[in-house]
Amino acid sequence: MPVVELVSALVGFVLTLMVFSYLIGDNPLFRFAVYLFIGVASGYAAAVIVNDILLARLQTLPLTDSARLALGLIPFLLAASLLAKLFPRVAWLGSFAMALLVGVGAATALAGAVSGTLIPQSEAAVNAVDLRSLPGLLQGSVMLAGTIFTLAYFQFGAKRAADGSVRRNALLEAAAWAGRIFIAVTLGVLFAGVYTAALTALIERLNSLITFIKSFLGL
Amino acid sequence: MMRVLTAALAIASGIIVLLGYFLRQAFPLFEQLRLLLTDWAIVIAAGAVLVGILNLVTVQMEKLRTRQPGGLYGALLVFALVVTFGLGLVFGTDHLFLRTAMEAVIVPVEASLLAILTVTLVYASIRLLRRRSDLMSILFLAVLLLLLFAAMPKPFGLTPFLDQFILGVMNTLSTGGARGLLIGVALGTLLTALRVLFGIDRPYGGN
Amino acid sequence: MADIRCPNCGKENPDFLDTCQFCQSPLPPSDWKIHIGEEPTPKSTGELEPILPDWLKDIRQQEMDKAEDEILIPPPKPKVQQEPPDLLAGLMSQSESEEEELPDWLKGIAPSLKKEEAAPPPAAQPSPPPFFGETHPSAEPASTGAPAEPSADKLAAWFPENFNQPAPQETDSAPSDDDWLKNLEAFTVPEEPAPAQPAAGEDLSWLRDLEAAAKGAEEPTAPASSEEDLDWLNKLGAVPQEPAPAQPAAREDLDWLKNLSAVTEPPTEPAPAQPAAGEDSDWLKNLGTSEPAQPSAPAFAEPAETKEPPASPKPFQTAPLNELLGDEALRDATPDWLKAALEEPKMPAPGDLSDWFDRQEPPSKETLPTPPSPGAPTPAFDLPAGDSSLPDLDALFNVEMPDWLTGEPEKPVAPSPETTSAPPFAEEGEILAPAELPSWVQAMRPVESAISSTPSTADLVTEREGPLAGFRGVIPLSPIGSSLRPKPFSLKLQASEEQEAAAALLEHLIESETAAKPSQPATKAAAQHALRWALSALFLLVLSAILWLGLRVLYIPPSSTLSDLISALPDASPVLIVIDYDPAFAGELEAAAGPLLDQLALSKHSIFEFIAASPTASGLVERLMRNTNLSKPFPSGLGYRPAEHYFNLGYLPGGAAGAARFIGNPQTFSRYAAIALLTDNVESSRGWIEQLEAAGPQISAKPLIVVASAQAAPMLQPYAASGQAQLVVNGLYDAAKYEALNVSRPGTVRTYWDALGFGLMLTIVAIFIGGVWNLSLRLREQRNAMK
Repeated sequence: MPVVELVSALVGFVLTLMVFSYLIGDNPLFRFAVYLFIGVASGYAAAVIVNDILLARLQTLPLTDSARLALGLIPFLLAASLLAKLFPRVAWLGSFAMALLVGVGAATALAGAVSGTLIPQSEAAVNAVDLRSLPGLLQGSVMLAGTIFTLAYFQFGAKRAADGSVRRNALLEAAAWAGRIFIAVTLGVLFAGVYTAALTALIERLNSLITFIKSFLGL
Repeated sequence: MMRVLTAALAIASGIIVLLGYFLRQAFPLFEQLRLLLTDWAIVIAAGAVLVGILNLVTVQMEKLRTRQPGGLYGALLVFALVVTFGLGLVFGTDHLFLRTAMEAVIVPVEASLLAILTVTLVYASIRLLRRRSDLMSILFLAVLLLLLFAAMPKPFGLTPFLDQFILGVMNTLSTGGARGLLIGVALGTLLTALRVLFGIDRPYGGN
Repeated sequence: MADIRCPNCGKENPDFLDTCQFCQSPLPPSDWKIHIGEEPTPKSTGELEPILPDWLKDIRQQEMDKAEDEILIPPPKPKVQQEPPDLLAGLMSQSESEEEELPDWLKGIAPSLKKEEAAPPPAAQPSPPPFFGETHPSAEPASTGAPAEPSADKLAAWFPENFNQPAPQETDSAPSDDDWLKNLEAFTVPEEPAPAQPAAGEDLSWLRDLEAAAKGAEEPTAPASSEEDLDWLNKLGAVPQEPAPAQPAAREDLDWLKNLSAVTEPPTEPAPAQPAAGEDSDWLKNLGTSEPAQPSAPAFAEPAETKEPPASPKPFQTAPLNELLGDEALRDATPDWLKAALEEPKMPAPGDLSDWFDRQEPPSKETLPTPPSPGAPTPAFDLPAGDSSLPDLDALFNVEMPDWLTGEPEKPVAPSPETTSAPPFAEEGEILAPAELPSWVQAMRPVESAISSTPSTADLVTEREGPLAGFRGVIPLSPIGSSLRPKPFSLKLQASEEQEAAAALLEHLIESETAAKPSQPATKAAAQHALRWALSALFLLVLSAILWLGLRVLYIPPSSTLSDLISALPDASPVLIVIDYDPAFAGELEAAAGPLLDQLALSKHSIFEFIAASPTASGLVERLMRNTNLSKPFPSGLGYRPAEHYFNLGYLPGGAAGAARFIGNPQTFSRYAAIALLTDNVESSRGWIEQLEAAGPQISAKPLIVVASAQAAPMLQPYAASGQAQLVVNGLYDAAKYEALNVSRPGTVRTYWDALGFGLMLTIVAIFIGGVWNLSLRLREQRNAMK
């Protein structure tokens, strides 16, 4: 094993154990590993951004075409103005860049949500009901009902009854109750997925530890 | 004045981007403008990440300067950050140093943090019925156990039909619910974006 | 940026606000101080002395007379410094060190009493100074030059700036007897938001009515009442709260007072410790000397249209101001202190006084005021005993006031045998001989019966400071200046009942989720720690043993459709691979994507182009290629080399915007045969799917393969069901099938599969047993609680 890989594996091994020590309780080893990780990850991200984004794009600016150069420098100036956000007195300088970012982001998200989720998923919810076969009809109906009931659950329009209690419309209340069933099932599935992912990560870490020990022991 | 200018900038850029999306065939200029503005937004977003990292350094240095508890950890963080960033800046992100940093520190620690979540989730599931024993909690745990059982690798495929049935039912139910959630999220995104484009919400500091 | 102090709540507001940001009251214009007299407004009460209406002067004179009688039996003297801030000033112009027993106005008068003693009594009935009549300049432009008052020109130049709006004429219905009242009406209050100045006789009644209405919930003791009075007065109009330097204010007052009339006598220099005194004395001196030049009694008998001098064209102004209420523009342009005067009068307009008096009916018994309690006789004048200036005060006011005004205009309250021998006004009334009263005053006598409905003097508040010092019940407790004040606007969210109900429902849902639970006892906490340790040890030991042993006993379910999509792709075509997962999920995603990448490389010789959705993800490319054996040399790997068989395009910032920009380049994007999204994040993957769909049919038609972590796959399943994603690989479960179909290449899933199986078994058992146990404990607790 090359030295670099050996050192890398050894450091990874030690840091994994440090983090696992949290299972006993919070301790300085765990904190050391976490702070080191945050520092390295942040430095890595900063290096990637500076090297791969900013410097790389700056190098592509046309130095001979002043108009295109000026146009190309605008985003860099706006990005630099974000540094003003660190200083309250001149923080307003960064508002222009943030405004542009927010405006573009909002429009992008809007267009994507409408054309990528709202329309296709609404169509799919209806089209899932296959009238040609009973299983298709049953499955599509359940899925459509699940979609509607889930949306109904998040409808919080309610009126105050004569006795002062707050109640939704009876039909909406029933739909919301059914929606809770679907949401509980969905969250259960999601929880199972999260747990499976975490368990996979645990297995991967244990596997790396065992691999390192075996290689260290020559097994 | 600032509020007006920033709001106008956000609204104008948003409208141009929207026109670029929906009128790209009729007016290719809007598409070009959309790509230009989006390109700018990418650079600004990268700058925003850098500003966030700078803020992290500032906070940790302040923590160290004022000798707050955990200041030494902050020093470790800043040191690791500066060293990693310096090496990446000098040698490039493809260099062995940064690859080693990724392999030796970032992946092991982050994966280990996710790994210890396993025990936490099991523990939370066990304790759930102690804290809440209503129908939804029981249903939630039942779905979890059924799904884990159906997806669990078994010796010799003991219950293949049962597994398929459980997974099919769960998939149908969860897809319906997930679709409802996705549509709800899309509606929320739509409304939030409209509020930004109408200048009602100004998360860029113009409120 | 200058701040404006709210006249209502006293808080500072930015000068660009029109209404108070705290109480929503209208704020005076930022330069309102300049508008008044073109110079800083004096903050002392002395300046307000000249503008006192005659009815107040009359009452003061009566109270002075009574106080003179009471000198030998000094009343209890409440501490002046315990009083709330001065009424009219409200300006806190008097420092706290000014702890005198004399009221301010009386103190100011005191030094000049000796001088005023020698002043001859007025030959004619007094009338207000002519400048008061010039406070409606636009109504009568010629009034700026009062022929009878040489100094009126300067005053006319001063006052019109305060009243730029015309005051409506109201002389038609006024009988000749009211002419004097009309002359008095011209008297306006430039600074003080006092009630609209009515005629002398009626003022007492309405003021006492107001106070009686407010007395209901009050203690009868004077200090407490005074505090309440001053409290609302502090909220009045344009009375700043900050104390102004007393001495400069006094000098300013003296300056402008000097210009008021042709007074040759130099103003008395105010004492340093008594700034208000100097101005008071000067004012009084000026009045005394200027009064002979005023139109006197014959003018009252003449019709208003013909007899009103140009300098005082307008009668006493309550009714005109009242009419101005409907003029919004005027109201806006009017200073706050004047708005107080513009409010709805509590009595009829002076021009209609006679009619109003005629309409007054004798009070019923129910409306009769409660007799004052014997234990709380509040003197009309709160004068210190032994004040040698009191006799001089009497002389002073006798000089200024006509005889009929020095007497009692009416009896405000029914006499009570338990209090003083008679109410002060009634007592003074006995001094007046009926023959001294003008006929029109005699005609006002029925007002006594009307005024008798006012509350007892013992219930009224005695003013202790300022020009109203000594008067009892002249200041209403609440209504003055309040009707024009905008109603307090609640900052509470104005929501409909339906909205409130919806909010309550949402709040209930959130509360049920976030309700704080009591902390666990130490024994329970220790038990929980033990459980956590036991679980940790169990999982670590079992999984480590399985991985160490390399067990491969668990069955992988078969699949027949996973790789159909790949087989349809062209050979050696570029495939975009989006690295959208964090390093934490590298193990899972590398295992899950391994079969896909292996099949693409092995069967289609695809060229991989990687783009990272997060900065750290860009460093995972090499690791992915290595751990999937793609970059390893033959025979252990496929020998894929960077920049030849695969390209790392780096980090793409901006989230969905970055994806949109990358997808929006048709020249580069259209060449991809397929897009593989390796993700652990629902949000970012949703952004990619949406942007691919939004990019148009040409882009969205490209095959999209989603290799998702198990935590993200359920939420991405609808996209697979709708056809937006052609293939979704759900974590290790689907990857195991894929790998099995791909002749167990690269084999990473197989390494994890048994450990995953046993780990899930442990999980199921632990959750089931622990859940049942905890459920039984919970039910037992509930049964115990019910018992």
